[in-house]
Amino acid sequence: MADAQYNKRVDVLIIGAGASGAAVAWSLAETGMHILCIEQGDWVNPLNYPSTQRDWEMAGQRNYAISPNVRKLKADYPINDEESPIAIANFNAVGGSTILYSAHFPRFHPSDFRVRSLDGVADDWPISYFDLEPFFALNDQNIGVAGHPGDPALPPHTPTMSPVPLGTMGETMARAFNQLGWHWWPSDTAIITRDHEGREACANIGSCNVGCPKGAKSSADVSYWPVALRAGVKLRTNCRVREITVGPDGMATGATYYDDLGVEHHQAAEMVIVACNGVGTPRLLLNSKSPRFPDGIANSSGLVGKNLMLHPWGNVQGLFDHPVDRFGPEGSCMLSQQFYETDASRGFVRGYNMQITRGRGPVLTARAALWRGELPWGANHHTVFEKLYNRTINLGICVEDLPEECNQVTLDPKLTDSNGIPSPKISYRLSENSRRMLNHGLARGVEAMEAAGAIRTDTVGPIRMAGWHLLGTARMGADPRTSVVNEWGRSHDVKNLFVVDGSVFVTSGGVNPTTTIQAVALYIADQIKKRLANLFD
Amino acid sequence: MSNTPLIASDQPLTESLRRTLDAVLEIIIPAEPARGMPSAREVAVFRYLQDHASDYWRLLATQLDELDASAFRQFAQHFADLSLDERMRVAHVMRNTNPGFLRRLALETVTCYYQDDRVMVAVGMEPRPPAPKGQEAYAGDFSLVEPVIARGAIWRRTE
Ligand SMILES: Cc1cc2nc3c(=O)[nH]c(=O)nc-3n(C[C@H](O)[C@H](O)[C@H](O)COP(=O)(O)OP(=O)(O)OC[C@H]3O[C@@H](n4cnc5c(N)ncnc54)[C@H](O)[C@@H]3O)c2cc1C
Ligand code: SF4
Repeated sequence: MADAQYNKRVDVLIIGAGASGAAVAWSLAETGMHILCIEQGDWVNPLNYPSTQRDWEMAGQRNYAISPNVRKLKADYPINDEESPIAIANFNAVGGSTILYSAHFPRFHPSDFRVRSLDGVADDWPISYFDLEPFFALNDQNIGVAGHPGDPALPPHTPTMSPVPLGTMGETMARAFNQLGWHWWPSDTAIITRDHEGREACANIGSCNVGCPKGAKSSADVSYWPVALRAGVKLRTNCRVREITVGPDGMATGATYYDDLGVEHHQAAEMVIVACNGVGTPRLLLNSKSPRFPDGIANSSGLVGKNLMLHPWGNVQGLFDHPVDRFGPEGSCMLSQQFYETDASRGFVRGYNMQITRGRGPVLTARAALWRGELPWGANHHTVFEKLYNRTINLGICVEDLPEECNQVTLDPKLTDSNGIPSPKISYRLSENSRRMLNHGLARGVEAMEAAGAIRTDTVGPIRMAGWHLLGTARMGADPRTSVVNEWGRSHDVKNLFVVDGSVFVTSGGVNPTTTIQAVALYIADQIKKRLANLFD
Repeated sequence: MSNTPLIASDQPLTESLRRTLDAVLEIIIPAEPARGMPSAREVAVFRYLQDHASDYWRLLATQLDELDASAFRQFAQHFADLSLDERMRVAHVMRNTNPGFLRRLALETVTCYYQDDRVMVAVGMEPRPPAPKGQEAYAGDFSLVEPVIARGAIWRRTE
């Protein structure tokens, strides 16, 4: 196909087909504009997911490992995260990192958007929880979110279907939280528990973190993309964008990208929307250098890549002297937000979420125990294994990370991907506030496990391989000096360039971010639709 | 082209080294018939190493030779001819002198072992991949939220 025809100017070019790119594509489709999304990864075939294979536990550690530096697939770009105690996790495919996510789907709280006003730290967002509320609901409706209505830790909202199983594991923890007088609630979960939009309900296969072979987990490839494609959006896979190009007037003209064979193309567009996540987006913006924007596009504030927030993560594992079931979605069951809102007496500001997750399968149980020197050789092997398998409950601590300019994504001077495009480099350190919060969370986690009857607890945090929430590197705000995009996602510098992923987050909240990322993406898409007549003024 | 492998480590193990391997697998995980657990020598560890740990597989013959030599030094017998207890003592010495070899062997062994049909059944699972059938999961008692509801809203007001 002739390049000119193939890359014919489109109205909207979306870069990145993950959680946010998919939501925006779906929303804008109704405008009838010519919309094209370019994605560096391919479609993933659910029939190839590890849980369809006998060695599913180990297969999940290879091509579905959470680190791109381990997977090293064609779609992956290496990330230099040596200068960070937390390594970056992602997935590069249609659906983006939602291919691997746990689908734990708690919303940000109203207070998360008013951090400066309430606690005197960081900055307020230019939008509020209540601005996003209709888009949270719309997103829940679109992708199917299971949960239990009436959570007193949030303004009232009603999940679209009944919750995922608590199991005896969840009941054990629920009783413990009740005994302590702490908040807990069945988690909102982006997993369908009844048939929804042509997808079948969850069958409790369990290994959601290496892809859901049933399509019950609402990853973007099975939730938004099929609908967006039917509505006319085009999706070009296996194409990696090198840079966003600009014209003499300083407006974005499109993007230069490499196709599957490494051939360079230019895709012209009236408007460019970046949705490459909190690391991929600043990388692309910083790589988009031109005489007009020598420090990268949209970067007059100097803040592109800065204020990276990663949600330092801790885990408390409780070991029980009786079996606790582990059937159900592995990463989403219930949460506690007892310590979510600020209480100055704790020695830190802001707070954290506790997320209960299920134990491991037999292979990973045995390997971990052997590695720790706990599982012996010889006659005692079976007795010890029995005491470890199906007897653990995990409690994850998700700590609100506050923005700091020193925590950042820059371009690595040497490392490149297979197309020769400079890779991102992560420079990150844990703040004192985050450290205190994490320690507090680990101690409370132990308390909860002990209340639940655990005979032993093991704590770890911050976990290195847990940089799965990538936020803050192209923050939104009203002031062009202190933010990269305005309050509806448009670059202050380039009036036809938008960012819609977690990069725009002003603060990180203390929960998994994807429901909020998608609500923000839908909000920005809505703003675009409302302003079409004078969008670039 | 000749069918003869160019390097010796591409060859399957000799009969004697297979005996050594089986003998070490048996001390890593012995059988326990009462629980329905086979020993690791009864599961396909050898094949697993070939298919999934090719880097390690190449070193196996040399390392097993070393283990056997160590048995000879300590007990003047082949490793495979020693009692379980004696084998354990030889392995213990080797775990100190060459910890990488046996640690890796044990890791690969448990990885293969806990995928074996008999073992999966014995630990209470069906011998199949999780998909597509999934599991019957117990929903749980959602009325446990009552005390949480009774304490009322806890979200912080912003307006
Ligand atoms: C193991 C794991 C577990 C997680 N669990 C949860 C959870 O339980 N709950 C939760 O809320 N969140 C979870 N997350 C995080 C969640 O997946 C992300 O927040 C979400 O996917 C972010 O959406 P996004 O659109 O910003 O980016 P992504 O979904 O990462 O999508 C970005 C897309 O852009 C593409 N891209 C990047 N650069 C380029 C380029 N130059 N050219 C072309 N394409 C490009 C990528 O290939 C990718 O497909 C988890 C993540 C991981 C890795
Ligand atoms: S538990 Fe449900 S969502 Fe998770 S992989 Fe299985 S079917 Fe999919």
